Amino acid sequence: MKRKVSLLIALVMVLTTLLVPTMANAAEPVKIGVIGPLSGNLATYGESTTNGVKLAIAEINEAGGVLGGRPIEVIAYEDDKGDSTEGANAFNKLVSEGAKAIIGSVTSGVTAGLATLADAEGMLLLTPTATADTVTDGVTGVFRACFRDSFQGDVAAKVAVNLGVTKVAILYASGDTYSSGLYEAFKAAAATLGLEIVATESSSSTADTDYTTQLTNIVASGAELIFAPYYYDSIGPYIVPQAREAGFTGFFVGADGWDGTQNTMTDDKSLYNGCFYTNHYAPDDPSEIVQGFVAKYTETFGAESLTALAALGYDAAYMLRDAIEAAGTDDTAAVIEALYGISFAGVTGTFTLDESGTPQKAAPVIEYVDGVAKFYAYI
Amino acid sequence: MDNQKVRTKKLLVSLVGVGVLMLAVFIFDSLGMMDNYIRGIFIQSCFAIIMVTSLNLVMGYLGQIALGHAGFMAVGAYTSALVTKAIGLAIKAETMAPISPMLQFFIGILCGALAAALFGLIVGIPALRLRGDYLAIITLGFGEIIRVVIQNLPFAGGKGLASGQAGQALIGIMRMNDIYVIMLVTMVCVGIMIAFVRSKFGRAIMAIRDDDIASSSTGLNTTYYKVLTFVFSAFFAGVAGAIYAHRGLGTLQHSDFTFLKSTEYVIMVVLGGMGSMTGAVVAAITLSVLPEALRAFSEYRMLVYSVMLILVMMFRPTGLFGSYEFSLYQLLTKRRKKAVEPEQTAAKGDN
Repeated sequence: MKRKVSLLIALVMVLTTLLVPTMANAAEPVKIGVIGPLSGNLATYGESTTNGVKLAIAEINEAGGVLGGRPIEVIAYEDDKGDSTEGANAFNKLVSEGAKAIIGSVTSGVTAGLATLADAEGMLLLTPTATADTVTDGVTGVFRACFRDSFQGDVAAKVAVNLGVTKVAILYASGDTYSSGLYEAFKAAAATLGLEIVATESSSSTADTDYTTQLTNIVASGAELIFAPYYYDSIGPYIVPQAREAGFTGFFVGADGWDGTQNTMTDDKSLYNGCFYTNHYAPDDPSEIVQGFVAKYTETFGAESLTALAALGYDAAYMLRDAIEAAGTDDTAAVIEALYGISFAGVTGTFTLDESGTPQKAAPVIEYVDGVAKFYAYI
Repeated sequence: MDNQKVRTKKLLVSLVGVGVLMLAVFIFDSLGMMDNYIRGIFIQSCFAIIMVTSLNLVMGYLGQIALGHAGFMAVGAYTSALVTKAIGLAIKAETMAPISPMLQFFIGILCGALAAALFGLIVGIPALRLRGDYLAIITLGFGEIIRVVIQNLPFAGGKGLASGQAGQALIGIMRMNDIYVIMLVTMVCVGIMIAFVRSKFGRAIMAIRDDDIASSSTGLNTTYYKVLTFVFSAFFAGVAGAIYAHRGLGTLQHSDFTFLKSTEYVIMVVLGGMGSMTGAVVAAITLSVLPEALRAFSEYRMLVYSVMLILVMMFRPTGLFGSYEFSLYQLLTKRRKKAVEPEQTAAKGDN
């Protein structure tokens, strides 16, 4: 008796699994995957980015999905812990589960590995935030929603020219991919723009807390501006206050890693006047699309994780939607074809993707005025 | 019983075991049950096995705590990646006769392993004068030094060699993710290490582990054996690094080889049981598969992983296997003896 019952149950289970696919109707979802560092020391970046993606996907599905009513289904928001092997496992898992496209990952290191895999398998990889130049080099089907580091270094040098300085100093972290990449780009741009680099100082990592020696040397060199490609966690509490302490009165220019410095500043906010950085979007941009995004994001996830990464994640999901619509199908190869050269208008600007899959867009420069991030100019 | 005969028999049984294992993988593969996800984890398990068994030589058999194993892995990874890159460029520029990717990969492994062994020697000679906590700290320091040096080498970053850039991830490395080749390399490595442990060298280092002074007073050159084991272990860490570098992602980052990576492998050794090759292999596979198997729990998976480690350490402080070794030959002979001639006492072989 018992055996008969269990047999019956087994039969029912088999039948249901067989029947489920046939019951799916015309509104079959378009499956995609998302990868980001959701745990580990880069978890805040992963959280912001995936929140942006989540918000956009929810909006797209609310508005009727893609291709005439098919919703976008995210198979999973996979964690890569900021580790390339974990990232590759997540990628392979999503591909084997039928993902048509993958949004991810957040850091350049992990994304470079995923790019190789995507190229080999003909998968579409759209990274919201990996800025390293090498990520889209020599691979097809790999796109990004952000600009690249060499462009950022270029803009930073133009900001220096714009501010009317001629003598600049560089402080960078030699052991960090992001920081040393920006250093190279800035150095090259400074040479062509006629800026004189009077001092080049470095720390071994972006996690250092004492920069006094380097900053004293910079002050002694008579520099009027310091280019410091670091992250907000060392800029706010250490680099800027220590430079002012050492007697530096000139300008600071940084890159997108500075985003969020307002939360790590010391009490005296006036120290940060004269600090500029390039960013992916300006939160105080009065345009409807930016303000709409800021309002919706704050309402859903709170203001704390609202950074440029969230805006890029949001834009990446919309870029994918536009490409699927343009291709008229969810076939990966066709969507890749459609993404090359696509024109897009989003929170992080209006742009066209070039043949390498990188946006050609202007970078908004942000200035700190008494501890508040204010839009300065598009350069 | 004839000792030589038993030895041949054991070897034969092991070879048949290896063959069956490979056949099983082949059947799985041809049935289409191995997608790239499974393959990736398979390769990950393979280099973890080599890392853990080689670290076990130093920690389990020599009884010294080494926390810089990822440094040797980095040396192997970068050397092999740059060698295959150079060969690839030379073939492209037609300054070298074209050779198969497989051969390139093996040359890369050999160069990587030799370079790692050389670093093992350089680190080992001064470091092994110390023992216990001091050795642990000095190896940790050396591991980090190796990593920081790599991060500042211009030819080991960006596109590599002449067009390289310091501090960047090395990109465009040859892909070699054939599971059979990697499986074979892993088996050969583990086989050599087991043979090492059972040889007179293995006996010597275990004697040193059990009592340093006593073994020295019987005429053993303890420094020689310690350095030898360390170099031997570094050599295989280099092999693991070479597999890691070519595992299909095409990139290498110096941040992949921090002391946290070393700690990960130390955990695997301790979990499997210090001084058990079986334990090392099982722990390497388990701890490579476990985080992936727990992916469904998403944010709780690291919590579950840690709790499992704590539980094992609480209830099996000697590790899962202690110093037990699995032997196919013994398993088979025991069975047969029980069935056919139960009165004969089991031969006490050196399994």
